[in-house]
Amino acid sequence: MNKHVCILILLVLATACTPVKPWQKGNLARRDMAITTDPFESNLRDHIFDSKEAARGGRSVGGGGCGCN
Amino acid sequence: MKKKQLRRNERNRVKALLSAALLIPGLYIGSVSAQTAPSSPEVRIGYMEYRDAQKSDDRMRVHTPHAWFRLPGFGKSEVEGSLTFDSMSGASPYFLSTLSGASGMGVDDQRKAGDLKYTHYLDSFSVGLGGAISTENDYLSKTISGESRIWSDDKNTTFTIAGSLTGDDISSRIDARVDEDRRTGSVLVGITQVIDDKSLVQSNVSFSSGDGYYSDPYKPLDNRPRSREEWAWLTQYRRFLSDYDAALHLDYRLFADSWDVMAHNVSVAWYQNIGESWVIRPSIRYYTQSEASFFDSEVPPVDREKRFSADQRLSDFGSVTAGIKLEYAMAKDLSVSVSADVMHQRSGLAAFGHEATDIKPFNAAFGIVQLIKRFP
Repeated sequence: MNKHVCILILLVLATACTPVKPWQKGNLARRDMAITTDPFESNLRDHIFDSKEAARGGRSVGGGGCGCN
Repeated sequence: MKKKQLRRNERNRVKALLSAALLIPGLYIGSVSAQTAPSSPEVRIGYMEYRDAQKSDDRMRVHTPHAWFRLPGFGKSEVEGSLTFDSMSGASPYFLSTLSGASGMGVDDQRKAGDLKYTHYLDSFSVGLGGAISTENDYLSKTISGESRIWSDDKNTTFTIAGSLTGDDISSRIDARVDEDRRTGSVLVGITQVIDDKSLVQSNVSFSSGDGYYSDPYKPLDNRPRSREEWAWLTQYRRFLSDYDAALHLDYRLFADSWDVMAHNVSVAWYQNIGESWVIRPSIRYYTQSEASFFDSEVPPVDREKRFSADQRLSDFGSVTAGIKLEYAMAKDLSVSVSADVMHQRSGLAAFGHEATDIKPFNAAFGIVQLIKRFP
């Protein structure tokens, strides 16, 4: 299953990209299109999930540790 | 001469179009998510309330005032940071640790945390340096980090490389003999790719390696390995659907570590714009993990010399979190948002579970309110 997910993502990256000019990026620059739309909420949610689950990481490095883990 | 004139006309047309895009209210924030330039300054202050329950008992309550800011630095640079104060009370969940270090029969603790990151932007790359600190009665964590992003000429592809070093000092309020530490190094590489004029994807892989004390100082039988290597692969897809005036967010993360834990989580969020001032965002998240090689729900362990933990977070389980968020723009640069989430965790929700661990189902709920001030 993991292999299939990897292949799917790589296929999307490799084949589906069309060159986008600066003046075509209006939609991409919208607030609701940001990778992290709300860093405030993201910090708090990540902290909850990191403290209740074994998995973490992938978003960034350097967030700091906590006694909850 | 004629060619020069044509090129000038072409440039002027592009400038006019970009200026028009910049004038659309609340739309343009300066750069695409690939972040090839400083984003507009922003300050957020707010509060989170967290509660959890297990076996129909109320357990932990956490109150968290929180602030986040991004402000302009010298020249083409920005400073980003946050401050958090966690205040915990109640009893921690069975077999679980808490949002803070102290767990066990009764918990009354505070956590203060802050982080700061400075990023300087050049023509084709950026460099950032950061630091973070978190203190509790029984825990101190310090981190330094560095990050660089490099983008293509058309800014449709951005590569990220980042690294951090963390030092944690661990003690216990019930056992003065616990005076331990842990050192962790992490690296992350990622790519952000514009797919077309309505969608983009970011994919990051992070690796972290730590040495030191991983056991829970409040669980006398807890005996975890003194090292851990973790891999995480996070892919985040964003698509704008103009017919609905909405944005779709799809995230998937694969996680594996040297303790034999493997985890998947998928989350879907739908940002629905309503008129000029409202955004409503329903979201759902599913998480599943396999148990650590040394996890055992039987307490006490048969062999006390062996690695052992009965921490529920190292068992086979699955979890579903559903939430809703509302954001209202009171003025062009001032918004308020409210969100609420409920989380349900139990072993029966594990997608790849192998053993019946008989862990008590666990429920949590949290709500966040915040005030957002944006600057032009």
